[in-house]
Amino acid sequence: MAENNRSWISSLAAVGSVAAASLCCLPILPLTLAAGGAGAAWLTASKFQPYLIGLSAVFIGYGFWQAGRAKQCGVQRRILNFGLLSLSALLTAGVIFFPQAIANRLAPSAATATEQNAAAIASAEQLREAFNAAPASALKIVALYSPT
Amino acid sequence: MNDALKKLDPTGARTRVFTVWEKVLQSDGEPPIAATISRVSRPNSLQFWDPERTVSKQAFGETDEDSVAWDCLYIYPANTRWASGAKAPAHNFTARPVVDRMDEFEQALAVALQ
Repeated sequence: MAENNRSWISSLAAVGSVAAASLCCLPILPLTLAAGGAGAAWLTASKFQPYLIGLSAVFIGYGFWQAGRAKQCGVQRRILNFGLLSLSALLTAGVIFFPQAIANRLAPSAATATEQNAAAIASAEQLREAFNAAPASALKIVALYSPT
Repeated sequence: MNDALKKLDPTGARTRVFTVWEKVLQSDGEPPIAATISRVSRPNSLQFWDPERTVSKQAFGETDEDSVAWDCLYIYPANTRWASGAKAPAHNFTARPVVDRMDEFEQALAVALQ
């Protein structure tokens, strides 16, 4: 479900990019690159994530700069530019700072940890009991991670 | 981690993995989604969501923000029982990011499984 939503969002973003390309005076390139960077950062939990996030921020900044110097555009078009850029900046910030929350909102049926096979834990005692309940002959591995 | 485990213990019969997802970063407000969980999903293994970082505090000696047990792996040999408090692991991989230490992890795992 999450993957479907992500594909759907990617498709929508692509259509939006094409539609935006038909308009003049819009900071198409920086918007597309910023969205692409943020999207890629969201979809990949790799060591490239910080770089992709940084790129998104740079392109949004570049978009604002480009929009600010597009004096030949009408007032309404400039307002639209800044509106789109601001929205893009907000979405990118959301992806950067609240990736899990956004993912959970976009894919509510994808199940959170407590609904899938991960139980909420209130004490290390629960882990200790599970650890000791495992077969003695098994090698045990404890992994501590952040979801994001 | 999953790659090494799939390679060295494909059926999951010889290992048990206990994954604890902790709230560490500002962006960790909510439990991990299924896609996140599936990254470390193994047969016969358990995953926990620990928003208060109780495991880090009660079992791994977290006393302040600098001592959070996070992004780390601990390997315990067979027949280890966890009596109380923190256990000294046979091997620990605590230098972040732990993903950069997967070669060492695989080697340690291979030795431990011999």
